[in-house]
Amino acid sequence: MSATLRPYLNAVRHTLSAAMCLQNFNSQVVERHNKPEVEVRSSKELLMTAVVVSRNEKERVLIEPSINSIRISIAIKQADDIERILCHKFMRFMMMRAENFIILRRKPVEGYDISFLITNFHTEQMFKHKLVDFVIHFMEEIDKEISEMKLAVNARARECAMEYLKRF
Amino acid sequence: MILLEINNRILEETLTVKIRNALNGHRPESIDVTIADFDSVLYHLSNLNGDKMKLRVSISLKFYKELQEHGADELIRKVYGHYLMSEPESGYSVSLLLDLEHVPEDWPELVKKVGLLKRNCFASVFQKYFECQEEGIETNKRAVIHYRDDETMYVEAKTDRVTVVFSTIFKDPDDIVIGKVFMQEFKEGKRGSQTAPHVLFSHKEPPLELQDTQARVGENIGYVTFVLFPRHTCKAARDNTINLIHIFRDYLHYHIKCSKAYIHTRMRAKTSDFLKVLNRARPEPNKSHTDKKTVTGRSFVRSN
Repeated sequence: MSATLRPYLNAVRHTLSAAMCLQNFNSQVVERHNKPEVEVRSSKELLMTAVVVSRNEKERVLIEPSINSIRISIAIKQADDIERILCHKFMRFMMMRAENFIILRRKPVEGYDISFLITNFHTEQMFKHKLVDFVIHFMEEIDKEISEMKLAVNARARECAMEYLKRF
Repeated sequence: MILLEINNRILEETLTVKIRNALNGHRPESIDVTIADFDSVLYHLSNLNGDKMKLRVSISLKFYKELQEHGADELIRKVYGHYLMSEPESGYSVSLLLDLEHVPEDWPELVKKVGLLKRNCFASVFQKYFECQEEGIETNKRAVIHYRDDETMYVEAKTDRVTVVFSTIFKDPDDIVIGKVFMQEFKEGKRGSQTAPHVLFSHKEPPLELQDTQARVGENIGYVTFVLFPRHTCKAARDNTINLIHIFRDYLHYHIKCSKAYIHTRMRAKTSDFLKVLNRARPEPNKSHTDKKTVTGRSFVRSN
């Protein structure tokens, strides 16, 4: 793991653990409604200051806490065209399976590649520290996976070109 | 499976079964099969006038007219000889007729030859230009073959080389990116193999040779140029070169699709891996709540 990745992930981990203190909260505007406040944004006093943890221009995490929900948006490193399409494909693939992922948001927040939405109901059903672990694990793995996929495409291209041109 | 087969395997296998049956004296059965191949080529196997011993193999190429200008008819006649029907089946470009009552000794050879029908149709245009180059005739006219609806192939002979340009369409915008990666490797392929031809690739714009033509320009169009030198076009290497070059477009697209399929399987695996990690966050059901049974089999309920 490179020198900047470790502190970056640590910062995200600590911010997340601190931010993930959620409680049940009914809507103040509509009776018998209970909505994630970070999404509906109905009253200002329920939202907390959003934090951006950033490793460099392209890789950053936006954490938006509120009283009963927290939204985590991740921007993934995309160095070139091929990484961009791989990332786009991968994120689309995962978001189509959002119902299995429970905490995954179906659409990313603008400017980011993928978003998670954790509500107080999630933290009641699941261990908080394990949820944080999952987000960190996801961030670690996604970079690795995308660069491996890119390598695989390159290797295939080289092998194909070689095999074809060798025959001449 | 890295290289695509240039023959048509379904056609070959169908013919082999037919001929074997005929040789073993089985009762002949009627046949009516349509087989599709690359570049929207269609094969049609049928019986001539309902005679079960007469097998007709027809091929339809949309661009056969263009090939005819470059001597496709002569080449086909030379290769297939008396098997060629003088009038092709209506709606098809070339028809061959096999008589199951008189199967020649070397019928596996014949089957192979029929399987290469599409390749041989393509070959004529290359043959012509390779010969031009060999004799040192510089043709001003370049051959233009619209081998698919929106895709074109250009062949041109110079005294010292033959250039073949393919235009190809990438339907999916992602294909363009993956295609670029592939073409980059083809460009650099020269390093690995000394005998390989020069390959050039240009995206969106046609190469300089085609500047004055009606070559299409667009976001999803790529042009691939092969520069074939005399060592590729000499008589000894000619057949091999044709075999390789006429399948190039299909080869490229096939591998782009394969890459995408591979990426997809990886994504699937990784996604289920992520799910597993996420599910670890759920607490396991408490073991103490499980039902306890007494020796007699009744449920044991602690009374407190």
